[in-house]
Order: sequence, then C-alpha cells, then structure tokens
Amino acid sequence: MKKAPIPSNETLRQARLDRLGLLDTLPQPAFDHITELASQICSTPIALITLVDHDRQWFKSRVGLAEEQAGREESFCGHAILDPKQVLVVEDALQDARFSDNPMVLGGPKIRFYAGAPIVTEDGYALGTVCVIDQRARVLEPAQRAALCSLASLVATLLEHERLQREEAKRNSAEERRRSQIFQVLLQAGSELKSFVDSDYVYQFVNPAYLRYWQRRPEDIVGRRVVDLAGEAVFQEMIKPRIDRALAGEAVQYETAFSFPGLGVRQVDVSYLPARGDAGEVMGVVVRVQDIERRKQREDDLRQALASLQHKTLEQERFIHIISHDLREPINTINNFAGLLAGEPGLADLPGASRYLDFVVQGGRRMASLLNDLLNLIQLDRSVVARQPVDLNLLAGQVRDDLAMALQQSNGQLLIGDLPTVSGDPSLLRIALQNLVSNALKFSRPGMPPVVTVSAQAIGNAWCIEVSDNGIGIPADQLAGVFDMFKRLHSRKQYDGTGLGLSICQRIIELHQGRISVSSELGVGSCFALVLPQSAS
Amino acid sequence: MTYQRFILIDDNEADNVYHEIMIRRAGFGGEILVFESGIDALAFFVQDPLDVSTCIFLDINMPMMDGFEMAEQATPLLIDKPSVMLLMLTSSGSPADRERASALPIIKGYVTKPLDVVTVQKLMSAGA
Repeated sequence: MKKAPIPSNETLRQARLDRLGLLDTLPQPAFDHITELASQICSTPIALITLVDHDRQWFKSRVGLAEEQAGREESFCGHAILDPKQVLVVEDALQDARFSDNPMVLGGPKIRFYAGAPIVTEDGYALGTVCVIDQRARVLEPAQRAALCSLASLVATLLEHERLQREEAKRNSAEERRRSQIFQVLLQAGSELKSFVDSDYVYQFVNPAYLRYWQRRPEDIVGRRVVDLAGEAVFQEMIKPRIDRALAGEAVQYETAFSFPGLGVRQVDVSYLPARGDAGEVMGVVVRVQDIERRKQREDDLRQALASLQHKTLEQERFIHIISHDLREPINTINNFAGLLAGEPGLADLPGASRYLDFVVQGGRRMASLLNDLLNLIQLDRSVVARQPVDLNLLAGQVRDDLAMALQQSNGQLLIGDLPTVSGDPSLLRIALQNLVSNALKFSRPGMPPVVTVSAQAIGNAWCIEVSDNGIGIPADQLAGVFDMFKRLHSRKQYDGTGLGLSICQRIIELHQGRISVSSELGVGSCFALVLPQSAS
Repeated sequence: MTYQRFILIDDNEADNVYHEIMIRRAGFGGEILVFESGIDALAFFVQDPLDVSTCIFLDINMPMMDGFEMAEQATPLLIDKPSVMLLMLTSSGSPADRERASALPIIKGYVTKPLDVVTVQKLMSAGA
C-alpha cells in the first residue's frame, strides 16, 4: 500500500481547513443533500464529503458508511487532494498498485471503485473531496465525472459562505459586547438613579447611583418585588398606578420629595418610562430619579430675586408718578408768576430786574419741559402699544393744531402729503410726530421761514413716513448720535431743548416695531424717516 | 348768553390768584367766586338759585374730596340748570382722568392748567 503523501503546501492547507471551523461539527442538510445527489448520480452505495485533517479523514456528510472518520495514511482522498485539478478515479482497487493491499480494500468498506473530486478553496488549496465508493469495479461516465466536479465546487462555495457567516456573527457579537459595555458605563456614570422593573413589579436592575442614594446592596433589591421594599400603602397609592401607565406605553413624569437615608429630604424628578423590546412590546419600566434639590434651590432664589425686583420696580414707578405730579404744580406756579412779573410795568426801572427775571422764566420753562419729556420717557419704558388703525392724515392735522403757536411764531409752514393709515397707538404717534415737526420748526435757518413736509411712501408691507425740513441740518459726524438721550448739538443760547425729544421718538417707533433714521445736509435741511408696519386690516 | 359769573374750585391759592388774573385780563368784569374745597362749593350751590349764567372751573387733585367726587355730588344740583357750565381745570393731562371726566355728564369740558387769556376769551365768546 502506498501511504497517502503529504502535499507540499500542507501547512497552509491545514491552516485553511482549521479556519473553516468545520471539523467535528454536526451534519447539515445542505451537505447531506450533496452526498445523496452524488450517490444517486454515480449510482454508488457510498458517497462522502471528506475533509483531510492532520492524521485523519473526517466525513462532514456520509451516505452508506457508518464511520465518522478514518485514518489518513490509508485514505484514497489523501491521494486525491494531491492534484486539486483532477478527479481521482480508481476503477478497480485490486488492480491498482497503490491500493491493492489497502486495509479499506481488503476489509472494512471493501472499496473496489473510488472517484473523488477535490474540494478546492478560491486560492487553490484542496481541503478534501466529494467522493463516491462502490464495492465492485466500475467505470465513471463523463457526465458523472462532471457532476462530481460540480458538487465539489458547490461544497467549496458552501464552506466559504459558512466561513463568512461565522466571521460576521463573531464581529456582530463583538460589536454587541462593545455596545453593551458602553451602555453599562452610561448607566453607572452620572448621578441619576436608574432601575428596571419588569411587568411583575419586580426589580431586575439597579444602577450604582441608586444603591448609593438608598444605601443598599444589589442583592437587597434585584429580584425583590417593589411592594416588599416600598411598603403596601406607598406601592398601591403612588407606585403601582404609575408603573401600570408606563406598562401601557405612557411615559409618566412628576416631581416630589424623597427622604434618603443619611442625605435627608431631597426634591426629585421621577420618570417611569416604558421599555420596549424588539417587536415594540413593553417588557418593563425604566424608573429614573433625578436629584433636583439644587435646581429647586436655585429656582427659589431666582423667584425671590424676581419678586423683590418687581416690588422695587413698582415702588419706583409709584415714586416717580407721585413726584411728577407733585413737581408739576410748583413748576407751574413759578412759571405763571414769573411770567406775570415779567410783564409788570415799572420792572424796567429796577436795574437788572428784567434780566434776572428773564433767567427765572427760562429756568422755569426748562423745568417744565424736562419734566414732560422725562415723564414721557418713563411711560414708554413700560408701554405696551395698544394697536389700532391710525389715520396719519388726521394725526398730522392734530399736530398742526398742537403747534399752532410755534407755526405762527416761526412764520413756518406745515405741508401734509397724502398719508396712510397705520397700525399703532394714536397718542404715542402723535407725540413722535409732534416732536419731529417741532424740531423742524425750531432748527430753522436764520432768515429762512421753516417749511416742514410730511410725506409717505409704501415700502414692501410697511410705510415710510418722512418729515423733512429746510433747516440748519445736522453735521455728518453727529448723525449717528442724534437719538441719544440728552444729546444736544447746540448751546442753550442758540437753541433751547432738553435733548430728549428724538430719544422719545425713537423709543416710540421701536415700540411699534418700526425704525427711525435720519439723513441730513448741513445748511440745507434734514429728513427723518419712520418705517412703520401697515395697518392690519 | 355771556357768562356773568366765574367760579374757581381749587385748593391751590397760587393757582386761584393766577387764574383770577387771567380771567380779568381776558376782559371779564363780573363776579369771580373762589372756593378752596369741594365741600365749601357744594354748600354754596345748595343755597344759590343758580339762575345766573356761570362758568365753573373745577380742579381734580384736592384733599378730602377730589374734583370727580365733587362733580358727582353736585350733579343733582346742577344737571338741569342750563345756565351753569362745569369744566375741569387741572394739571393732569392723563388719559385716565380725561376718560373719567367724559364719563360724567355734568362735566362739559377739560382744560389743562394754567388757564390762559386766549382760552378764557374763547369760552366767553362761545357762551355768547
């Protein structure tokens, strides 16, 4: 007997075989079908799928043979794998010098006929064979030979698929393990108490924070019923209804206070969250408890601060209200009688009297003016614009009446164009327009009677109202700051004023969600543009 | 109908003096009565026949009885006297006060202080 020789690539070949992880596995239907086919096609009583291992041949599938494996030295398949490209056919073993005295020929399965097609990997290693065996001498038809080759090729493919699937499974399980580790870390980390309660109201999991807060060991809780740990009353009233809602799929959340051993009473935020399985069914409840004691403390502090602030603001407003009314009277008195005095005949005879009185009168007027402007400004701070349609034509007419005296004294003209109706507060808009026109009349060029024009044009869904004049204009480098509070560009001698007028205008327009801007040329005139939303109609 | 009588109801002496001067400067030569409290004014109305064409200036901010209270209490006395015209004369320009004034039928007008000659003259010519 010729022993089956070891192929030159044996080490690598063996490695390929081991990599399959197929040796000593249970029979599988796919492979059994193949041996059945082989047996039928070749009409042999015995058909095998053989894998040639170190020192044995192991049968992944067998028809007509009881043994699961046999020795390698006496194996026919051991010879077959030497030539991966060829089917080894032994028509009569007794006539073949290699096998005539082989124990499997003389005894055992009594092999007389053998045909084996090598199972070859993609990279050319012969792992074993698909072989058929008969106990009488025979020949192999060409069709049968071809079939055997196909079956061997099929086995090779199957093996490769199996290998890939197994590696995929291994990768997935590694991935699963990694993710599970991450989740573990997530659960352990942080100060949230987490527990998992199943549909029988039994604790199945608690995280370290939970154990820490309740000062318990895992074995005290896991596997125990919630009712046993919380008490019947608390369980029935507070816990069970909420768990039931969560089991029905509803996320429940509420705030309460717990008394923790050693820690005392803490405000907590409790959630009962339904835990769903792969098919979407609720398999339990995640109970999450967050210690919000500090947050509550901060909220309380904030609320207190706010209340104190509101209180102070209210007091402040009352104070301003009272003072403003109380100031008005004496200011009026000063102005009234200073005015009377100034008109007294015989005053001119007292040296300096006229001049001194003049200062008094001016001072009094400035006080009144400042008071008015300040009150306006303060009102505006809390103002909520009560919107209604405002016909600007009518408004401009009212402003003309308001400024009748100023128009007369300055010999000025107020030209009112075709103005639209806008949405806003009529009294506030009146103040704004009055301020602008009054300024225009005030800052006129010496010797040039002021002409003030109020016109409008539509821009998108807003109106742009322009108040332009032929006055002294504003220097370019001062334009940006004209709306600043108390901003005055001239001495009191030149032009009187509080410096609040334009600030008030801006505040009013902003309250209307509008914008005010100015363009001007020194010595030519200025143009104030107000952009206001259209009336909501 | 020209006014033959002016009545000032105001607790502020300085304002009363000034307003009286203004009324005179407007060219009025008739009777000017001054009351420093609503109570005093009411006592007067009760015993006056109120058949003389009268213009009453009533302040709002007064201690103990403010202008609105006074107006309410004076209503039964003055409401069907066509010769009497009651006006608020006040330093308050607040919309709230204006509204309150317009809600009382006895109050026929609202003037902000100080009263000036032009306003008095307008009133006198309107009453004519």
